[in-house]
Amino acid sequence: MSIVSILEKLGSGFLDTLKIFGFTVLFSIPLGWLVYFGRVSANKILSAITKFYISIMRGTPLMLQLIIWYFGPFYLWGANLKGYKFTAVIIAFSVNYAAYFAEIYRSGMEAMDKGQYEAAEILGYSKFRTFFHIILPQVVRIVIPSVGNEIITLVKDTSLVYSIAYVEMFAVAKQIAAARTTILPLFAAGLFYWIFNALVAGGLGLIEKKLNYYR
Amino acid sequence: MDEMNILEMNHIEKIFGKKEVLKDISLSVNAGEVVSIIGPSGSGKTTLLRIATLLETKSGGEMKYCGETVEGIDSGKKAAKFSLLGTISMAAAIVLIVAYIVLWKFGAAWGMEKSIINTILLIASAAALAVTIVFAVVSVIIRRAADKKLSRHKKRFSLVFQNFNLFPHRTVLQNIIDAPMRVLKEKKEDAVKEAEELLGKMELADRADAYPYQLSGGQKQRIAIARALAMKPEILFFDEPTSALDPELTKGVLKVIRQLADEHMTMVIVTHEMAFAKAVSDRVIFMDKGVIVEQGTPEEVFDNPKTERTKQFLKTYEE
Repeated sequence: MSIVSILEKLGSGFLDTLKIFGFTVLFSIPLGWLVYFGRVSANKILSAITKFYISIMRGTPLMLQLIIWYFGPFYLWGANLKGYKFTAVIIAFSVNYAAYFAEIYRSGMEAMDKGQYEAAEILGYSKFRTFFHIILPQVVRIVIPSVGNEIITLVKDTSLVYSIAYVEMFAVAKQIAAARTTILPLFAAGLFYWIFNALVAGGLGLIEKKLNYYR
Repeated sequence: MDEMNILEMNHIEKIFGKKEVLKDISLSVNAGEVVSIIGPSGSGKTTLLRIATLLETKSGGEMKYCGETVEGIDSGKKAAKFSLLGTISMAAAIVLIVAYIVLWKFGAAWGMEKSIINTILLIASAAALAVTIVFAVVSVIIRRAADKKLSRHKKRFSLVFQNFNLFPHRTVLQNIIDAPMRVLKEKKEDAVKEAEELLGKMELADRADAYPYQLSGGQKQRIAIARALAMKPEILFFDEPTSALDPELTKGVLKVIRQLADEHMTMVIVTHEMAFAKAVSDRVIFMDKGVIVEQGTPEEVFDNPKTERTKQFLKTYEE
């Protein structure tokens, strides 16, 4: 098997990796805000539930969560799992990463100067406007490095889906390596992750620079 | 005389925990008047200002803007009561739903037939959920109504902060025009025109497109004053406007405030600048330990203080 055909196979597997990555980023970043607002809610029960949720998500292996999300419906209700795998992957990744994002947002929100809220209040802004126009743009700038860190981890975490036999690049690489007894595809897979993460890091750096137009 | 009255505070009290920071404070400010509040730190000056600007709730007393009693400040407590009830019924709903699911799943295994209890649990949890929603809605309605009542008063005043609190991600011009456009619903070209006039008055016409980090403290404070004035308040509060500035930068800010006084802007100024307070004020209030110790014209308070405490305080500024 030539290097080119290995790369071709990995490349098509990489599209699945990208799909997991893209959907997880798309869902978990807004979901993280929802979790954040639950976490800081004045409603004690809501904040207790959210705190518990975050602690479970951060305190247990993502691989275990993935397996539970996928096989859970079968074990609990004997559900038919056909065609459910990708959905299970996205749910597991999104709710897991949302918990981490929520904590990152919380640290960002806590870093905000109270005076910004007071100035907005004196000027008569609604709570909605204060959040979206005054607070959020500043918090985004504060949290972008930590969010970037999580996103880079996510790229690598996508390989965990092999535990429920979801085929993406890493699974393909392992298959070829085992079938041909060559380490080459594993190196190639590593290269894919590394290059993609370099691109992600570069993109994040650009965003960071862009957001630094003040101060 | 009554329609001239802008702010009236009667028997205001504030208690933080067990500490009484304001005791029976009464004061009134008429249109065009400049009132300075002086006193040592911890005397309650800033708290009084924060109560007047509704950033802080009062523990007792009454407040009027333009003769109208400010209502709805304390309705937060009422709303909180309803959200607490909502939390309790939410807890009940969760317990009932869990009980229902457990019984539904394992009831048969424990030798309990599907019985009337299941139905009752289901209805009860639905009821608890409904009650939760009702309480949540009621508390939101109360808050909304209170906000609406307060917003009329909020348009009457503005506040200049000790540390400016400009929005760092917005240019000077955006800082000034945003609230007039969004809150007062002014047209953009009108807001910009006003902002440019105000910037001219602040001698900062050329800094419209700068970001706050590019300005000195004194410039920032003048922008903050322009931002407050753009809302066309009937009364403007200053919370130690020069305390965060280097001495050489205070001049420009004090000059602007003096100019406003000449234009008969109604102002209440908490300050440590004694010479300035003496020069600019119609009335000076000396506060200590949460009470008004003495008030009168600048001449009365600064040149002929009646109380020993006032004399003592002013002496610390003489050196």
